[in-house]
Amino acid sequence: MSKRFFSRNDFSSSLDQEFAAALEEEEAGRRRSLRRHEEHKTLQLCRQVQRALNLALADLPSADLGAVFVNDVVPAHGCGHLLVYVDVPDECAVADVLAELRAHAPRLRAEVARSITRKRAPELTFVPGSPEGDRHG
Amino acid sequence: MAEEALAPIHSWLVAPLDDAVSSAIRRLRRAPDVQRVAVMPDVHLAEDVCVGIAVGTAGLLYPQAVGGDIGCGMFAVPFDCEADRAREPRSAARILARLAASIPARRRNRRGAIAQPAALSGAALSDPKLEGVRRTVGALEFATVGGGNHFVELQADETGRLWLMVHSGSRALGPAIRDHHLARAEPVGGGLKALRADRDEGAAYLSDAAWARRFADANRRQIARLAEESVLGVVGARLDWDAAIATDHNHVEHDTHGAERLWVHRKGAMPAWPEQRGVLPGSMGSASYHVSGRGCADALCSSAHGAGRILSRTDARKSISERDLRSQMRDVWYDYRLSDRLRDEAPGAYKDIRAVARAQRELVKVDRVLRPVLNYKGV
Repeated sequence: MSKRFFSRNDFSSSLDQEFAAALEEEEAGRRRSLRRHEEHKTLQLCRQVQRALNLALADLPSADLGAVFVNDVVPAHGCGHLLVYVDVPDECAVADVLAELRAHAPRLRAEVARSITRKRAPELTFVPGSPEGDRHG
Repeated sequence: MAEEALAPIHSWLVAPLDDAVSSAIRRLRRAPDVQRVAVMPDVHLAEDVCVGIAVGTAGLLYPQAVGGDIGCGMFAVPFDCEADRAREPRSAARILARLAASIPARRRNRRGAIAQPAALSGAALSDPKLEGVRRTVGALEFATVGGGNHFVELQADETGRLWLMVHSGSRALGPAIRDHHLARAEPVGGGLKALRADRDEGAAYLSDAAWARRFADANRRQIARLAEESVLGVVGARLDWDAAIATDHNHVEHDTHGAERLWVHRKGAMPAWPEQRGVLPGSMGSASYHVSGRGCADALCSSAHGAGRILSRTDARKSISERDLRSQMRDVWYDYRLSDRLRDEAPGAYKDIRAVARAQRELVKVDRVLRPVLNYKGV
């Protein structure tokens, strides 16, 4: 036990390297596990929002929006802001559908708030297409 | 005021009292209704009333003579394994990391909150504001260790058995209760305020202070359960709960001492009735003792509650370097990355616990000596 942590000549080299490494490793493992847990919770939230929006869109008094399908929901800046990827039917003008979605955003957000258990309902930004399409241009 | 007009005093000291402590004790002895004062070897200056003091009154209650961290105390319990298993560097590191992750120093987040036992949440405090603090802050602070000299420590006894020791209190609830009742107390001179025990205000304080003691005890036991899980996950050891020792050192009790019924206020003083078991912790780098009371009447059946500071936190930070701390902690596993922030808790900032134990031979007898193996302190 006498070689731990201290040396009059060299401060850092006297640290018990095995203890220090094990401490860092244990904490890193915990951080990884927490991150995985957070990612899982975020994914779960996105699925809930996707389901809620698809149901809400079907109920809106608009033929165009009734035909819109939410492909995917992904976090933009944490869980406070979500990107909602929508499939717009070929016969509809994308710009018009997006304008209509923006107009109905408060109602859609309220539907989302009802179906999730978060203090604040996330901000929604509607994007045509899918995340893959977005990533690959 | 002449010496004979002051309340009688008995003391068990390691060194002569300095002027500031003497003056604070004199002020207390002069206060109305103070019948007796006992000074413990770990006495040191603190706000209003020194730490390391027992005060007996006939009918007045002095919340300042209990302090803010009502019910603060110790919980010691053995594991069913040898201490060497936790001493191995890898195991020690894993245990320390798990303690830090499962027992926060300050507050839990809402998702990690642990429910208070039903017995605590059912018993309402005397004022809706205090109940509000219990429901909100209390909910997040339950099963947290606190800062300063509060800690969780693994120790080895003389036979090599592993022990757990927890030092924690009533967290923010105790100070909230003290402040609430001090605001309703009558000034009696010398900066002190008092409540009459036979009035509603006094009864309300006694009831809330008793609740804070139960909260603090439950807090320590929950911390011990979490520490057990941490150790269990690494070395597979379990606690022997039947052998636990529980004591607290900031409270007021209605006790009989000889022919007198007294309200005994203990601030940094542990009850030491005949054969009553207690825990006398050293600093984070030195030995601790398990003790049994001798029931010394002059000491109001009390004992020191630990080593007691010799340096204020400010002085400790001025005079103790990070290197000093590491040197003083060379045989104890702790989170070396916090060395700078732990300087005011360095063993050098505390009295020698052996001298404290020697000074109070009349008050307690030592049953067991324990050496620290691993120390977790919240900063």
